[in-house]
Amino acid sequence: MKLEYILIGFGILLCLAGIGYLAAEYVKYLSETGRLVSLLLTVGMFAFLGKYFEGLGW
Amino acid sequence: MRKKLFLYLTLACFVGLIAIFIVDGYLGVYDTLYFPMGEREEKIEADQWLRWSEWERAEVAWGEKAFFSYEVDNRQFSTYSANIAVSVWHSKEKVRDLISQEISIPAFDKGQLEWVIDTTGLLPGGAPERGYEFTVIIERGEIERKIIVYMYPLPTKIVPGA
Repeated sequence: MKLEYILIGFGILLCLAGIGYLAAEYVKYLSETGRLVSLLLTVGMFAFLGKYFEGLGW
Repeated sequence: MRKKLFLYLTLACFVGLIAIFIVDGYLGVYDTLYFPMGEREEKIEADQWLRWSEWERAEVAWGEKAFFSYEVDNRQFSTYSANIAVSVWHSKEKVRDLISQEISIPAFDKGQLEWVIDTTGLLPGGAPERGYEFTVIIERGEIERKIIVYMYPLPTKIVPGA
C-alpha cells in the first residue's frame, strides 16, 4: 500500500514538472482560447485529484 | 469504482492540457525578426508583435546600414509556402520596396530572409535634425508585421582606424 502511495506521489510530481516545463516554454504561444481551456483543465485536474484523495480517506 | 473515476478524470484533464500545449502552443508557423538597436541586435518573437507595434521601435543612426533578419519557423507536418514582401513606409505612403521573395520551408524546419536598409538612401538630403521615424512592413501571406524604425542623427562621424 505504501509503495502505491509513493508511486502515485512520484507520478504527480512528474505531471507537475511536465506541466511546469510546457507552461514555461510554450504558454506564450497559446491563443486566448487555449489559455482559458488550459486554466479550466488545470482547475479540473486538481479538483478531481482532490476528490480522488478524499475518496482514499486523506 | 467512483474513486477510480476521479483518477481517470484527473488523467483526462492532464492529457487535455498536454494536447492543448502541443496543438495550440507548439504547432503552427512562428516568425522572429532580428533588428538593430544602435550597436545591439534585438529580436521580436511571435508573441511580442502586438506589444512591439504599439510601444517599441528599432533605432539606427543616419548614415549607417540597418541589417534585418526575418526567421520563419514552420512547426507543421506539411511544407509551408508563402510570399514575403518587405517595404518601407512613411506617413502611410510607401517609400520603397525592399524585398519580395517566395519561401518554401519543409515541415519542422526554419527559413530565413535578410535585408539591409541604407539610411542615406531613405533621406538623401542629409541627416535629420531631430530624428526621423519610418515603418518597415513585412507581409507574409495574409499576415502583416510592422516595426517602427527611428533614425537618429550622429553628432560626430567616427572614422575607423583614425
